Amino acid sequence: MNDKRSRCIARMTRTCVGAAAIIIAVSIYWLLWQTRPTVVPSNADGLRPRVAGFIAQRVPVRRQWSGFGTVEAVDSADVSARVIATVQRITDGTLAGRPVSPGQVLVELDESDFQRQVEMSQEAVRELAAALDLIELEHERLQQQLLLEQENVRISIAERDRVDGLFKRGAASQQGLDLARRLAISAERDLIQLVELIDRISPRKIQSQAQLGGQRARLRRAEQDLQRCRVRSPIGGILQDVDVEVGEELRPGMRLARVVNLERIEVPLRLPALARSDLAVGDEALLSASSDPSRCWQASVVRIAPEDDLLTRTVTVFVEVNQKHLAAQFGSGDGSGLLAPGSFVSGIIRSHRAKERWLVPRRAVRSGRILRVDAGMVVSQPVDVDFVIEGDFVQFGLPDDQWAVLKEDDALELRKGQTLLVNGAAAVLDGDKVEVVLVEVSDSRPPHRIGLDDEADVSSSHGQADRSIIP
Amino acid sequence: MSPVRFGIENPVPINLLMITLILGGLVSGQKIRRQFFPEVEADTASVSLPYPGATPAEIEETLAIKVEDSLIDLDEVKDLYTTISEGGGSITVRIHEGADIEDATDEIERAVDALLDLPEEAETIGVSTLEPRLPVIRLVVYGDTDEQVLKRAIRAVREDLRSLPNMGQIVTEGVRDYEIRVDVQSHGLIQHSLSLPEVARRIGAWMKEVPGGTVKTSTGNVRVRTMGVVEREKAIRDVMILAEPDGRFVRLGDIAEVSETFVDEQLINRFNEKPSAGLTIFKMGDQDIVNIAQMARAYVLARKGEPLQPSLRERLAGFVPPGPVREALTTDRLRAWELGENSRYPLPGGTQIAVNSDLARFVEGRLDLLLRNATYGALLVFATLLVFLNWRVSMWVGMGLVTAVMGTVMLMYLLDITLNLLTMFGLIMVLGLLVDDAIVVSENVQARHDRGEPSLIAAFNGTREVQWPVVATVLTSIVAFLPLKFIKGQIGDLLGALPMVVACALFISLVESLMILPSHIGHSLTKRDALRPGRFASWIRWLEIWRDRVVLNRIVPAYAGVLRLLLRVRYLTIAVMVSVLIVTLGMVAGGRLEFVFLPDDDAETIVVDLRMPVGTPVARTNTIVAKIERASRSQSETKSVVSVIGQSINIDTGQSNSISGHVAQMFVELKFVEERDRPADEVIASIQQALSGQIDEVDRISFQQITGGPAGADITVRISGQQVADVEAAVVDVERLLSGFSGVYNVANDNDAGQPELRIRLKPGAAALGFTNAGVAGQIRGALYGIDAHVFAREQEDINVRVRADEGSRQSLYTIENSWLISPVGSAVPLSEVATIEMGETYATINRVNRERAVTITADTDPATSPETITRQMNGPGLRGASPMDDIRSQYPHLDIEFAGRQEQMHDAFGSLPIGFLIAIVMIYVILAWLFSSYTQPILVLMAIPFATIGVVWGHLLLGYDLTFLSLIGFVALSGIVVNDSLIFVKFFNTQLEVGATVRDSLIAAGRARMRPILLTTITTVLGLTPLILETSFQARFLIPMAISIAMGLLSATVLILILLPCLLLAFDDLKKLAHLLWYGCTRAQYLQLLEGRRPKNS
Repeated sequence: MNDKRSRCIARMTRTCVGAAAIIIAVSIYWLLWQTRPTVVPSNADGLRPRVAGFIAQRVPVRRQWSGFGTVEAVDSADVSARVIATVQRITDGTLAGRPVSPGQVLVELDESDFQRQVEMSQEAVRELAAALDLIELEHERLQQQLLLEQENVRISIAERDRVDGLFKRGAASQQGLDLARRLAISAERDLIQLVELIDRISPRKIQSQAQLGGQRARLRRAEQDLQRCRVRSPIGGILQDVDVEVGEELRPGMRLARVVNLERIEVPLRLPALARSDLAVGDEALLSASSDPSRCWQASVVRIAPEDDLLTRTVTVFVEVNQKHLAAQFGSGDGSGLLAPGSFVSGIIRSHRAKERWLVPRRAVRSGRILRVDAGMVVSQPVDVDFVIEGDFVQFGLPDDQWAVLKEDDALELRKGQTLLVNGAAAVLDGDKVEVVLVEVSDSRPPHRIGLDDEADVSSSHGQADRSIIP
Repeated sequence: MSPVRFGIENPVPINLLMITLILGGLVSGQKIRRQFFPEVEADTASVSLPYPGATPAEIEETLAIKVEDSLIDLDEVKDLYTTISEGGGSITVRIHEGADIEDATDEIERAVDALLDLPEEAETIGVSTLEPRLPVIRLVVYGDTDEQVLKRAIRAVREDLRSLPNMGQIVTEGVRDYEIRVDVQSHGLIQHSLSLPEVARRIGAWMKEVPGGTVKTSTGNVRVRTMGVVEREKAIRDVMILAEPDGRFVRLGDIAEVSETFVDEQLINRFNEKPSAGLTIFKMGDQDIVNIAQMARAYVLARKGEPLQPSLRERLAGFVPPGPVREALTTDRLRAWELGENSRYPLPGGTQIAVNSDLARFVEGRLDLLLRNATYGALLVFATLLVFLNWRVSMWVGMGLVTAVMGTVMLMYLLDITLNLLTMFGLIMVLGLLVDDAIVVSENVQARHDRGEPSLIAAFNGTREVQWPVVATVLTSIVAFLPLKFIKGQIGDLLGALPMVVACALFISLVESLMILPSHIGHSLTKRDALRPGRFASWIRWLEIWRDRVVLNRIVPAYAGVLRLLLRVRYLTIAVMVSVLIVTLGMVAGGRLEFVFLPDDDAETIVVDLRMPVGTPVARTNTIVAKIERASRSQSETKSVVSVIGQSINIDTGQSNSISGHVAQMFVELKFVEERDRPADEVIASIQQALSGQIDEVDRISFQQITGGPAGADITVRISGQQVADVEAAVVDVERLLSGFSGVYNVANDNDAGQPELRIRLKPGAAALGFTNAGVAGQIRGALYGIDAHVFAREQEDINVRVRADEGSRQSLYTIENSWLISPVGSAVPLSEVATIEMGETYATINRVNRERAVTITADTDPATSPETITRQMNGPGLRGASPMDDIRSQYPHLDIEFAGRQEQMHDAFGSLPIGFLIAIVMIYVILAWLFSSYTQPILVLMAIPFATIGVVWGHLLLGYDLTFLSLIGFVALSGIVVNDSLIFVKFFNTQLEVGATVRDSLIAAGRARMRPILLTTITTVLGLTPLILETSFQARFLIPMAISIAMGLLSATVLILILLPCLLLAFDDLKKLAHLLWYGCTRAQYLQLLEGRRPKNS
């Protein structure tokens, strides 16, 4: 019985120990499960992404337009032959590209024919002058004769009247009367004849004077033709080309040479028709020639075509480049360094109106919004872009050259000094907390480009940073 | 005749068989193909969508969607993955399992060919089977010289290497194609009223060369050909573009710059901060990765003027005169070195050549690891055998190990199984198993011989006695590895090679232990018996007697005593063991032992992926990369830095994306792990520290370590759906969720939205001027992207004559917006007058999965945080009961929000592993049931498997390793080994029962008899793996968790088999008795007596 009891106790003890072992194991399992390590939420503030930002600013901005055109000279002349002659000599300076002064002889023609013509004309003039002198002399004599004839008529008439009276009184005979009458008539006839002669003197004189005038004109023309044998440049400028050679037979109208004055040139620039409302006479322009893209010329709008071209949807703007002072600057006088007529140029015209506008880099605008940072939190701000411009704005300290000018309406809630994100496509979202790294504004100014701000000197357009500017 | 008898009676053929296996193994070892990973059958096709100059959105709309729609209904197609970037895209078509890839590719091609309404500018859509190709090694030529020199140099290297036999596919990188570029001034076009397409057309017309036929003369045929303009810069410049009737004309040179240059791609390559050009050698088909790498290295050595360290064979070749013998002795490596030394193309001045990204080092390292561990393991096993067995027996068991390994290599060679990281891993794993059979056989033979049986009889009887258990152990071991065949996904593709290797090895070990070993042991013991013992033999004999006395008279009785005691308190023992098991499982469930799917071991290559804000010019990206290069090279551990600016490749797939200026990728190659003090983690931290504050404008930057295992981020979530806005919103939510965990960093997504886009739409009035959408698009495309006016072949590449606007006309947005078009009637019209221009946003790249937009979110975790812990918490219950991920899913019911990448692989692997494991258990049960002729005993044997987790878990905890996927693979293998030991025990227990012993006595007798072989197999297996566990090399880190699972699991299982299994068997007997009592109302003995009493006496 004791054995049985002790066996029973032993079994119960073992069972209890076994059960206890399992219970303890399960408890440990539960404890381990309950205290299992979990990943704690991170401190979001400590994980703020760093993003680049800049300070919002209003900047004076001018809109710019670009167009194309062909340069034309305001002053230019085609030098043509005006006589039929043979080229005798081309003067030393008469070479294409050489400067010429007004009146400078370019070509000498064979003048011998014209010399003879002058001489002949001179002789004819002298002859006519002599004939005129003869008429004058004849007129003088006839005047004297007229006085005599008038006296003779008066006497004859008086005699006739006396005889007539006598006859009436019968004091005279019919024969006498008739004789007196005949004498009177004869005297009157002579007077009439003389008057007639005198009357003819004036037309003859006029005729001779006219002949003389005509001859003198011929003389002058001959002399002019003679002068024309020394072909001179009508204007100062650059010889564009010389089209003759010595010995060449010329006819009037044939072009000998072309002289172009480069001091004032004009470009009819074609701009998008949209630009019309922004353009005005006096607007500044910057021209660059396709033949020499390394240089630019400053110009100004002098007039604007009243109508748009429907075929090209352009407005023509005439810009003038005054190169008078450049001729001296470039020294050689051959026009090198000056904008040459015939060049195909592109031009950028700055609008005359400058206005302070909100300006942001184009990359800051994404899907019609910019991102501003308020109290470390990103807030998206819807914006409309009015227009875009190209250039450097050192005041922002950004390397960008593409900028958007924001439309200023009631929806735009921007204040000066607000922080905006440089890149609107950065991987931050509305409401994210960020750490902004403000772009540092450097003192070193990169080269400015056209149409950017009022203060900046006009330099070059994009892609032409190494251009020299010719003001 | 049984094989055992044949082996014992015919020692000569058996010896020849052994020699054949060893020599065959040696020869096969030289010839067997070496690879990085096992060959995977292609199951994907690729559809390329080239559309030069088009934006991703454009390609998606006009090409990708149409092609996807045409493919989705094909029976063979399983999944479609589309990636689109600027200029083109590709669709990766995953084929259903079982479908023939060639047929599927043909079907896809037909479907694509049937598409009609594709854009004209798009190039021909290409369809190809995606053959897996592996980069083996990379060669770079670098120096402060111009690109043309580098290109010429790398081409020369390529030509040299191509001439070598057995060389892989060589692909040059970092060099741009040649191009004749015609940069037309926009001024010139406007001045002459010519549009760019017209200029291109005229150039093309002048350059066209047309055969004119043949003039058949009486003296022969004369061919007629109209010659085009010579494809040279000067000749092209003289092409007449415009000729007026008055004789005025415009030549191309008057309005354009013509230059022979490189394709204008924003791509920069550098090696150690110097301009570089590189080539990558890919392994194709049945090439040997190590041989390729050795050739490349030898060639580079020669080009550097350095000598080659010749092998013995190569030394011999030096002494042999030229001829077939010398040819046979000359290795590919030596040929490569000689080629490099005698190269016809000297390296240009200022350039250097270097080897980089040598993947073969992994294979060589692991091969070296295998040989080293096999040697150490074999020595330890041999030493153990010496301690426990007769030295002759030990020697033959050791020889059996060598034979088995060599035979396995030969068999692998014959079956065309390659030597790769996975098969080598398998070989290391089975090293300990290979001697188990031999130990069981030899121990039994020796025991019989020691009991007085003649040696040959003992060899025959001893072997026969255990032959079926040995066969069963081999079968159970092979079956235990079967689940690896069931694993799906990328991991499954790789691990699928393991069962084959294990089966080969175990089959050879079975042949060795049942045929070769008994013969050798039998004859060896006969010789020992016949020989007069010498002094040494006497000393050995004395040692063996002393050992046997210790083992048999002290240890075994002690164990028998303990076993007897524990059998008496068997339920308490079982309860304690179960308690230990519960606590052990608690350690895993309670997170004390972290589970990491794939461990982040130290790496030798760091990949830095840099993404600047979309739209950043390449020059700016280059500046940032230069800073990172400097910071990386300032680390003493850095060997080299390769940078590619403008392009990046997907480390997972090896596919590169299109060129884009805002991306860059750097490969920082560190010194070998063994040669440095700091791990890659610390080097990365140091680089990040050095970069602090310098790269604030970077959108995202990630440092990824290449560890040799599958690459990819620690956490990957893929969101796909039709509604892009919803997808993007869900991405934000998931990113916020991920960012909320401490230890999670680099949260990023591949949604490349935000690419600025200039959208040009024609105004209705444009039509009045003759403009059409296509015409305007052609002019703008021509100005920006260019028009290929002519293509010709020179210097082994197709060279385009590309006409486009000059740089000044296209590099600025403002310039584009203010550009002019030429109307059909030849008038220059401002673009702004005929079109509205607006800025929009588009995608730099677009990803689609199964016809839906997809965004992939990736995140990394710090070393202290397991990605699996994070994903578990993401999937675990949240505040409202549902998991945080389910919360997000419920917000976006139309979206697919799934884990991908590593988590998908884990899901695939774990999804299929249990089924495979269950099948394996059932098969093991069947084998055991056959062996034991019992339904219940196999269950008891299998019950040892869960208890083996005790050793696995505590082994990892004590040795400081996380539980990994490979630990689980080790556990699968362990289950087979545990069953083996149990099987031997139970088989002997059954034998004792059959001779009439009681259950308790049979258990004690089985314990006494099987303790030595069980301990021996355990010790040999553990010692076989010990060198691997103690290995500190980089190569071994990946494998150690698996070795721990097997070794420590086996240690614990051995104790359990020797203690718990007898208790379970006895407890089961109690249960049977109880059941009998309850069913029949009496004990079994009483019942038998009752039956005996009822039986008729004459029966």
